[in-house]
Amino acid sequence: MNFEKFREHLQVQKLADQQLDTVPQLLQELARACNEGGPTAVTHIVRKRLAQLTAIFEKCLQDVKKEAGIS
Amino acid sequence: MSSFTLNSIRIRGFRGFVKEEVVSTQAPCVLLSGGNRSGKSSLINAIEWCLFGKKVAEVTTYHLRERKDWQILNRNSPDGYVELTFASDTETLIVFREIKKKGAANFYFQKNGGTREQDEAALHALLHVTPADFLSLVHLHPEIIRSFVVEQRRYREDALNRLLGLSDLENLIDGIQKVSSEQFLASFDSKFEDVEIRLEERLNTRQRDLQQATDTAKADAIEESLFNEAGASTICGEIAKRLTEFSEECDVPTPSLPNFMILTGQRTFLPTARSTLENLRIKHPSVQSQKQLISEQQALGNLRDAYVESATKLQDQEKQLKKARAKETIEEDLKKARTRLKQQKDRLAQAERTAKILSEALEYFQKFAIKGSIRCPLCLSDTTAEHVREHAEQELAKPLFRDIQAKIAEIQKHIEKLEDELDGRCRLEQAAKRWQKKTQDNALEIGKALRRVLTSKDDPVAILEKRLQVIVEQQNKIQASIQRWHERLEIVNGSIAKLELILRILDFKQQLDSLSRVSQTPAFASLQNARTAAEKFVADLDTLSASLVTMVRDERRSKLDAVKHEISHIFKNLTGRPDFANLEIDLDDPDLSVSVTNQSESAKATALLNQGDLNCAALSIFLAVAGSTGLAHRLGLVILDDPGQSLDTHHKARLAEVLNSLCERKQLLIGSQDDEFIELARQAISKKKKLLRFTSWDPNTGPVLETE
Repeated sequence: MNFEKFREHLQVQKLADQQLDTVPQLLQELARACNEGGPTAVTHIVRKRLAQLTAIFEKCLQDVKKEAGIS
Repeated sequence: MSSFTLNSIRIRGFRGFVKEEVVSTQAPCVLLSGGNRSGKSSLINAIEWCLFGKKVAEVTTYHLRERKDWQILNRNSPDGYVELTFASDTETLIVFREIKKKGAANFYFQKNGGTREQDEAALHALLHVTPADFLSLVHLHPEIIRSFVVEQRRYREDALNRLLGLSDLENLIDGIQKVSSEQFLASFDSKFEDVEIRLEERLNTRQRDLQQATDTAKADAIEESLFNEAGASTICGEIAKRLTEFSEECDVPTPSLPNFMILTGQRTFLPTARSTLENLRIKHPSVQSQKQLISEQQALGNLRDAYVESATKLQDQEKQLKKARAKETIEEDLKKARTRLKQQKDRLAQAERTAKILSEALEYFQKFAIKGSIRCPLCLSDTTAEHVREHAEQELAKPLFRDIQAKIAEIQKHIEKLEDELDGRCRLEQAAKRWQKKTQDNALEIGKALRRVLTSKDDPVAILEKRLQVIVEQQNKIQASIQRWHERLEIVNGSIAKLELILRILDFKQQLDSLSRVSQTPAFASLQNARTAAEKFVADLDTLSASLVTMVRDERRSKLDAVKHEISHIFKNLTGRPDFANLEIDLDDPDLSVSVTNQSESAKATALLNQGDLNCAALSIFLAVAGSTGLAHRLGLVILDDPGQSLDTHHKARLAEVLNSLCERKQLLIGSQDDEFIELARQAISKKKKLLRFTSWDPNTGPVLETE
């Protein structure tokens, strides 16, 4: 896959400032997974990242509940 | 950057090849001719396997049913390899891949005779080509070609994307869009909202608790100015002072009370003060005295009850003894009765003896006849034997024995009654003795309790009652003192209750303060950060996915626009149709339909074209894209496997002409079992050609090749 071309493509999109780094990084990570294992590997990576974010969120949620005495 | 063309293939142990073959392909056009199972396709497959390894055999990725269960290593070979030699205007490139039954396989590529590199991704980067690109842009496979024009929209789009080198982007989009990332955010929102609601509820509850506690405190006349730590401290001080005074008064150690200047100390102060107060309630001297008096009262009361019980029992026994006959009288009667009994028993014995004599006399008179006068033993008169016999019979007939026996029984019964009476008398005497002893013991106990010696003239009960009366009088006096003591303690108890209420108010205030500051805690900030991170990730995914979709669409349009005229040009040359000369892919149509057009009309290709023309339409798209110089990859090679399939002689000749044109820009490697097409291609292609004939194939030696 031609990443450079896609980077160029992304640059002409109106990306938010905070996405200028993260979106190309995400692309690179997912494209590598796609090269190695196709769409299934991409789905796996995305689900894994979301599961990690969920785990962090749940941990923080428990901390807040504990803080508020509602756990 | 110039493109690489293929100069040679060195092959051994790959699929149909057994022994090593070195095939020179150094020509603008290489024609591979041969029948089925002659090794022709094995040579073509060797090129892609060498470049991409087992990836090209993954049928699920590229939908090539032919590749299912591919046997890469020749069945008669322990190992195999393929070596490709490429050259461009300025560079050389050797790619080598090995396969072994046992042990690690080897792969490398070598540019310009330099170091051997084993990173396959680096080779693909050098050639700017992926396996998917290769299978659609370089190697025209018969299974793929028809997808361009006849498959369902999804497959047509897929084939088109592969042809245009966009399949990886499509895979990426598919992979991302399979995950419903919005659901994650919805779940986060739901959980976050739940926490906010519960926090709000808790705040409201605490607010109500605080209000109620404040109202109660005000109703109890506690000044609002005391509803703080300093106020609680003041009250603690008052309580501590009073408790210390009371302790000294009760002569008990001064209580050790916690430091009450701060809230945490005040919280522990409260239960300590309460327990100290309870201790003082029982430690006051009056309370102690009262306790002792009560204890003495109970003990004396018990002694009195015990004495009264034993004395009453003793009186009862003595009354019964008085009522009973004297022991001597009973014994005298008993003696007389026993004498009478003896007399009756003697009588009975005499009567029995007499009866025996009479019986014997009668027996005698019955045996012997006695004459003359005889003396009657019964009445002592001189009489006849007959008279004596009659007298004896009369005497024997009298109920003498029954009378005596009845009298004996009567006397025995009387004796038993007298003996029972005597026993009862004895029991009464013993019981009276026991109760007398018990009463004396109780009197002794009372004496001990009263600390005085009681004589037989003293009335223990009266003495006890006097002492009990004194105790009651003392208790009455103490009770008043205790009442005053409790009233003083109650004032402290009231202060403790005030303190408790104020501390409760302070606790509620503190909880409210903590709850209202939850949103400012690091934990809450972390939670928000976690949610923001998730939102950002999902936003990145959405942006990426949307950008990829746009890019695929733009790329497809751009690439097809670049070859639009070439597609129609090739189609026109291949089919020579006078009615619909042009072929177009409608990118604005959601179905990406392939249409044939002329200056005024348009029709779907599948609706109008026959099988041969449909093949030509698919070939037109492939050849136009594959021959485009605008594509990014560096392989200047196009491989066509049996392109003349389903074409008649006329169409084959036209295809050969089109290939001649393509050969101006690309090296062609054309495999076909159709000798007619091979011959037509030889004639039509004006560039230098190399013909490789696969004449036969043997499982032990592999294909036999002849080069022209």
